[in-house]
Amino acid sequence: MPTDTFQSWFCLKNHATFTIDPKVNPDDAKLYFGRVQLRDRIQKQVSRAFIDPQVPKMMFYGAYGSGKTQTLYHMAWDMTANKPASCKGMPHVVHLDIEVQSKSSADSWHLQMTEALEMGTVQGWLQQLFGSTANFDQEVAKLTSEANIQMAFKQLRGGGDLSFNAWRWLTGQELAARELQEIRVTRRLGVVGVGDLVSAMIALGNLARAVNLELVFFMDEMEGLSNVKQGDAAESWHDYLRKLSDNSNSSVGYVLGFHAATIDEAPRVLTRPDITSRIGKQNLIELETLAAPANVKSFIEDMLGHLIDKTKADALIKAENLSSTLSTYPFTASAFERICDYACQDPAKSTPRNIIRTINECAITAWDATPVKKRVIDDTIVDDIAPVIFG
Amino acid sequence: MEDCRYSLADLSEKIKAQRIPTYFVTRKPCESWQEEAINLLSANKWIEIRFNESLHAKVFIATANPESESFALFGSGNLTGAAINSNLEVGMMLYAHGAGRKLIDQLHYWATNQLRVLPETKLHKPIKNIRR
Repeated sequence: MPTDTFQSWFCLKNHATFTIDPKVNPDDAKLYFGRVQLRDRIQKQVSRAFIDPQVPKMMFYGAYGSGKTQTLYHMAWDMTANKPASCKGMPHVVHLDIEVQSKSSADSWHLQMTEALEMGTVQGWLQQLFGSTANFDQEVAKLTSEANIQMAFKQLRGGGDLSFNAWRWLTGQELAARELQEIRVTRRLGVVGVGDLVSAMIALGNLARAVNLELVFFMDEMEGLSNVKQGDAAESWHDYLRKLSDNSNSSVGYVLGFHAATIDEAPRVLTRPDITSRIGKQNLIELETLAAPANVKSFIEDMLGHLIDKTKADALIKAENLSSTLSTYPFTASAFERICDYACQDPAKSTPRNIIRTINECAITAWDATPVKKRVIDDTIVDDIAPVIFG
Repeated sequence: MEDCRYSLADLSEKIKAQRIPTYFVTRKPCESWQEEAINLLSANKWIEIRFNESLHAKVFIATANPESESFALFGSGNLTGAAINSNLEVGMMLYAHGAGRKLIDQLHYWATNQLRVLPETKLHKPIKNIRR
């Protein structure tokens, strides 16, 4: 007889456990439990954003565990899988966790964004554009009025060492005078200010659009900006974001995520009025904890609905006469109510991460039960686990 | 680990003092000193202990909030004084930057989820505190 696995024991469809992590399992990006109103609101705003300003410019913030990462990954998945009618090209989404040191400036942000986009991707776009036109130079000139950026694009398409240095130039890295000369640009990108870097980024967005793509960056952990101590460095991040937020940028979308229990805790450079007024306050979205019993219940029901193979669970409940119901499996009806109650006791702790963790730990406890594993999660298990997470 | 800069008792104290939920998966103790180590860790309510007789990996993973401060160490060395002081071992330290970040995410997921629920992984002592 085959050995039971945790997955088969709890009739899980495609998951080894009850944990959801889109960074580890990319398929998890399609999951988004409960929060129906928020999901609808995001979808509508994304749809509107592709009309004006033509790309989304949004920010999400919330406490640890409030679901920022899942929201960002799900948005990206949804945008691609269910492309809004208002979006002309196919969204090209790029995920990155921003790393910030105390002296980091916008150069570092630009470098991280371009490196996450990847040289090969941009080269492929240029090659595609080259193959689709009789006059490549003319097409490149439509992407940007900056002669240096045009030249870097042309060199990048060509391949070889020059191509590599052209890419390094576009990422804002410092090149030797000889290297600048070889790729035929007059100066280092960004040497005259942040505007230079943003121009290159917008040109990349225009290039994406020229090959029927819409470039959207999903950038998490922007709270690291609070680490920037030097005034000039902090200002450069702010300037970069302000220019990306401006209406003059209609080709590079961004969705930022940062930890902040309240907006007052957010890094100031992200939430100054000149930024929020450009993107619109409706695009600065707080991910609240679930808090209310109805929210928690619908979150858990939705989660179990997605993870559990209902046909198998139904057969198991009947075959073994389990004290569970199809909608609450693997919990007994009473344990299901109890976990909802625990999760609502302190609104600050009523986060998706805590709820998912509690469910997973309860299931592991049932799996560990001796002398025989438990088929269902009962009150005893919930009373053992939930207080230490929500208490 | 008595000869080391930090003993196992120090490590356990740190886990307790800083309230760090810790999952410890190892083979069943054979020697008396191993038994002693397990007993010491068992007394700590922040530590879960599991035994898996197939486990040969030596992986130590620390995940933090913010995630960028996480790190992992893996290599040939066991958590013993000999490994730290006298054996010739190799190890690799991973920091949560760039590609290291993805590897740590994978290792964390494996250690806290998959490894714990393998049929051959048996719970020895449950954790009694899980920080949110």
